[in-house]
Amino acid sequence: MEAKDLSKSELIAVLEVIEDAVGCDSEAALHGTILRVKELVCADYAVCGLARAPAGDPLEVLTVINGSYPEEWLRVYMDERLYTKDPVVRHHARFTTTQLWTDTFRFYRDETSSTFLHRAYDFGLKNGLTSGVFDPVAQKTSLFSFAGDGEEAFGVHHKKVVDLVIPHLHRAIIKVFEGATGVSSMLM
Amino acid sequence: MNYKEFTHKELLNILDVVQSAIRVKDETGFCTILEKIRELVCADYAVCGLGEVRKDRLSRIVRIVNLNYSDEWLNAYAAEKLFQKDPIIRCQFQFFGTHLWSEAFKLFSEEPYLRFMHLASDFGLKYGIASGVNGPGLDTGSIFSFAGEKKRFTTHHKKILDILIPHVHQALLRVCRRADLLTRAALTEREKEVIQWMKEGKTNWEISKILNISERTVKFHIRNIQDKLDAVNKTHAVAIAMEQSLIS
Repeated sequence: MEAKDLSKSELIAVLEVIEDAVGCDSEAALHGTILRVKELVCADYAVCGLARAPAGDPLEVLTVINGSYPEEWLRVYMDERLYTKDPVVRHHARFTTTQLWTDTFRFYRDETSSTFLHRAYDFGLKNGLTSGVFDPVAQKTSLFSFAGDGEEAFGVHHKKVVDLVIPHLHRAIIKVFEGATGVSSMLM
Repeated sequence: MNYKEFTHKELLNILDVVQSAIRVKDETGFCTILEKIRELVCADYAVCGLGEVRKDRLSRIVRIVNLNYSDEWLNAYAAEKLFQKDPIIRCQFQFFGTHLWSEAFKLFSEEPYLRFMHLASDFGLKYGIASGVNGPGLDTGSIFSFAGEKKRFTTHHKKILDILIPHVHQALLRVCRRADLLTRAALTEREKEVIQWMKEGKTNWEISKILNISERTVKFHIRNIQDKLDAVNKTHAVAIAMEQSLIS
């Protein structure tokens, strides 16, 4: 799947999202932008976050911007530090590429993962795709998740769209979080 | 921004430049981006630069990245500080945004701009389109100039630059900052001491006495400094070091 396989209207939508992301200077703006991506990949839910990720140490969540994930799920997720059990986050820590959840779940069949997945499923988070960027200089990682409550999984088409916009969304969340011009990303 | 007027191919090329701009790490990669934009706007030549802005004018050129402007022209431009007479620069650093050269020529049609235009046209620089962004802060700005020998630039090309230039401006800032950091990191503490004394006009013998090292070692350091800064002689090395704030 390459960018040339996207339709003209999809290319326009991708460029508009990128333009939005470049102009993001507040949490509200980024909130609007991730909702736009959610529509573009036909998802029901969207959320993003930024974490400090020092080598060998556990993640320290710096900020979470919720587009449309169930609030109750996010509360439980943060209170119980479920990101330490979430297969998608665990996978992201090892391979910072865009993941289709269906692919990731195949590698995590341990009990911790199964319990987590059942709980997520109860909140309607059945399918999804997640991506982000790890900035080794700042030791920060971003995560952008788009989920659906239908049975139909996301495909390579959606993955391509997310691949294209993620670097710009990463810059945006860094900029919003630091309230500056993305200094930590300057050497990316 | 209205993207609907662009063809599928143009949108793909625009996206390609945007994606390249966010990933570019060095000047070679940046030149590849300039080449892609040059093709998109149907120009023959491309050059870009960063400068310091004072009172709506370019006060100092900080960095130039040249794709294929004639070296002879750029050397004359730098040596004679022609940016002070260049109507494109005058227009760009006052208003920023994207302009056809013809628009700048109308705004600044008197001397010394008129003479400059005649000089530029002798180098085949007759028609063109320029764009740039002010920032970060009010004292820095960029200019991206695309020139051609034929009159072919239109508002369509202006719209392409309107989309792309904010992305490549950020990329240019990043590439220049990275290059500066690498250069600074490349000079050792001893080399920095040596070049600082070179700037003070000290001879090799005097530097050797001040630093309590042999004159031969001083020459060794100077040769390394010249290599690292890509300087042709000692004076050139000092000029580059001052330009890049390696010495005070």
